[in-house]
Amino acid sequence: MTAMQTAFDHEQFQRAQALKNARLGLLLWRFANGMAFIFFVFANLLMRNVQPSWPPPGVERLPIALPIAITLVILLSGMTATRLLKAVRANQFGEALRFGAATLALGAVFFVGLLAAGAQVTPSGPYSSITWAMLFFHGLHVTVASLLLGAVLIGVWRGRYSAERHWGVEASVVFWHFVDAMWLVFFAVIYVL
Amino acid sequence: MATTVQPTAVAVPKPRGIAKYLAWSIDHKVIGIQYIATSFFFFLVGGFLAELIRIELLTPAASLMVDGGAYNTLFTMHGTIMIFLFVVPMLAGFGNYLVPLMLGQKDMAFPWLNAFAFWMLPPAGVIMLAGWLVGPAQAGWTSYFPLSGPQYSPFDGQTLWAISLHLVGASSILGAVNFIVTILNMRPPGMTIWQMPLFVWATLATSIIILVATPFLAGGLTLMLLDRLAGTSFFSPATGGDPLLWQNVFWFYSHPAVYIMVLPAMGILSEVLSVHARKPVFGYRFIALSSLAIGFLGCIVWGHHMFTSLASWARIPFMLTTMLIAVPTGVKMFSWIGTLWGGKIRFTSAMLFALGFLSMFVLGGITGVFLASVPVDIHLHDTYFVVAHFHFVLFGGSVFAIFAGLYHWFPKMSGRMLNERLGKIHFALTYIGFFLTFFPMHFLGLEGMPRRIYTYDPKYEALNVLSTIGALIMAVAIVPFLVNLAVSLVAGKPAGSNPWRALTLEWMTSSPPPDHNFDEPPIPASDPYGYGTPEGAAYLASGGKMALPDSGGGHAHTDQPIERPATGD
Repeated sequence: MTAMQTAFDHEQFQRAQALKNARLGLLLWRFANGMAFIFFVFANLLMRNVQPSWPPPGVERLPIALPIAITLVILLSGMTATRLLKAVRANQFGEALRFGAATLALGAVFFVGLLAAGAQVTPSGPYSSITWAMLFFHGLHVTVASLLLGAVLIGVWRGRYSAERHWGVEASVVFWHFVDAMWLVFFAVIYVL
Repeated sequence: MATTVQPTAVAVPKPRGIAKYLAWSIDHKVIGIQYIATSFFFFLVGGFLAELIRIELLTPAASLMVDGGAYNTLFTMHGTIMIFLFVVPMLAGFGNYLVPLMLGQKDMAFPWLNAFAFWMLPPAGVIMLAGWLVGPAQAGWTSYFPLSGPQYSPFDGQTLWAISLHLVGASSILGAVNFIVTILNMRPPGMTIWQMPLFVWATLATSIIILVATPFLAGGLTLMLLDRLAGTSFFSPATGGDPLLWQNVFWFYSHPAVYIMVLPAMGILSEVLSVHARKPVFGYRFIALSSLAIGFLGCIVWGHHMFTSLASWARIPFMLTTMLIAVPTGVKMFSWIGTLWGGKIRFTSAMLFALGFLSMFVLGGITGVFLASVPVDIHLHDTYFVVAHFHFVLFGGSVFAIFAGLYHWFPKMSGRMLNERLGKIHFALTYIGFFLTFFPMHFLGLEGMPRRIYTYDPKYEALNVLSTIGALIMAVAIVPFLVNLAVSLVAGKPAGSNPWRALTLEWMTSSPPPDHNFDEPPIPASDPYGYGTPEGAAYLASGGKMALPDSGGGHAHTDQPIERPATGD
């Protein structure tokens, strides 16, 4: 074995280790981030616990049509995000860009829908406070996930990734799915329970 | 023929001496010392505030304070600074310095993130202290509503308080992610999870608690800021909010935070006791697993802080989970005593502080069981008994362990020994001063003296005088330590790589370690606590370069770059 070969193996090993670390790191981040979402669920449940009814007396129940529509949109965006990752893994970057753009567009539609859902809430003390806070918190995550995905798509466009090395794409898609999943939880707590 | 891959030489000139600690650095050793130095500064600030509190309480009448508000600020800032800007970051500093070294690694998994997490801390401290410029927080470190709401805390200090803790919390979460990845993914070959040093185990358990609980602090602070700045109705009764919601979410974080502050301290204790008693740790697996058990139980006991305000059906479950924590804690206590039993104890300053922890923490732990009992707590709630309890746990526990750790690892960090005589004076004065300050508070509490008041019934005066004398002794006690630090840094006896003849990997490199930590990947001892065993002696004699017979090796030394086995977790 030559010295060069050893150095090469060493670099391979370090890269594999870095990827393994990054994957575990992102998993732990999602766990902690998920606990922040659970915090809002916990707060919501405790707040309704001290009210005679939920929504409190005199407050209208929120219409559910728009939230269902944007839930379908964000689920669809999860599917296009998965196709983006698959395309990168198959070295099909044109397709990856198309699916990436579709994901971002669906994300934007969802975000606008989220704003409209926020506008449906009328100020009423505890009920509107927690509902707005949850919609805002989720919207913040959609924004961050979109910025990450946008930055990654610029990288795809510039040819920065390959089927072998695309941690950035993987990370942004994984985070996108996380934000999707958290919406399902929030949707259930805000509109169904 | 294989060759060693040399660490790449760095072309840019590095800042030397003290300058490197004042600049951005991604070296975990520099970051560790930055954490330790920053939090030690806040220890002195918080200690100064504590002395002012004790001087005010020397007499039953108002003596130092113009009004109760000034006193409220004192205990609010004292508690907040000691917890969030001293104990938590100090232990994170030990973790940063030690974990990569104990695992034989060059650095943490994410060095940049590590530096980023540290640099959130100085701004957090500045924002907290800036409270004095705009009217400081007065609602206590627990900041219960409505006291901390816009109605009773209209000044901006309370807002700054929340922003500062937000930064501390974010820093703590990023640090925890880094620790868990480093510990789970970067152990050296030859070190299974059951051969990790117990300090690393404790850091792992602590980091898991941080990931579970700290997001609740962040969430609670966000809602507090919204209530204060945007007029929302979460906690503030004035706008229809529920003050108990704050207590629930605050204690969901802050009770586990107690274990964030004590588990790494217990990890330090396991290292120091075993090394200085020259005996293998008794019940290694029990100590390791009890950290996880304490972490798990610690997340389901928060209601015991609210016995007087909680729904009555919820009291018994919280009482039971709280009492259960005494079991894993007791496992640790007995394991430590078993470690000492029959050991060849060397009464170094580090060991004295560790023994101080054992004796004081046991008192704090037992009063904790008293307070867990609902009928007792209803009477002792918000009295000086509670103050005595948590100072025995946090000072008698965490702070004694921090000093034990500083005496134990200062030689590694600086390359020089601390003076043992000054160390013993420091210990004796701290021990006596601590006991005299806080032990009388048990009786004050039992007699009904409420906490957080600046004037009190004259019948409590005698015990308060004792307590203040103790506090002044503690203030004097820090002087020999500061002198010791300053003198030893310049003129201390050179430490050599392994002054305590310890077996864990941080001692298998020079003191202070080079930038890349180890010249060659070190081979861990098969038993990191095999003191007094022939294997331990042989490992020490080899300077950490020899695989022990039962570690599966046979090659005394290899210059091949060591790779992790494909399986092994």
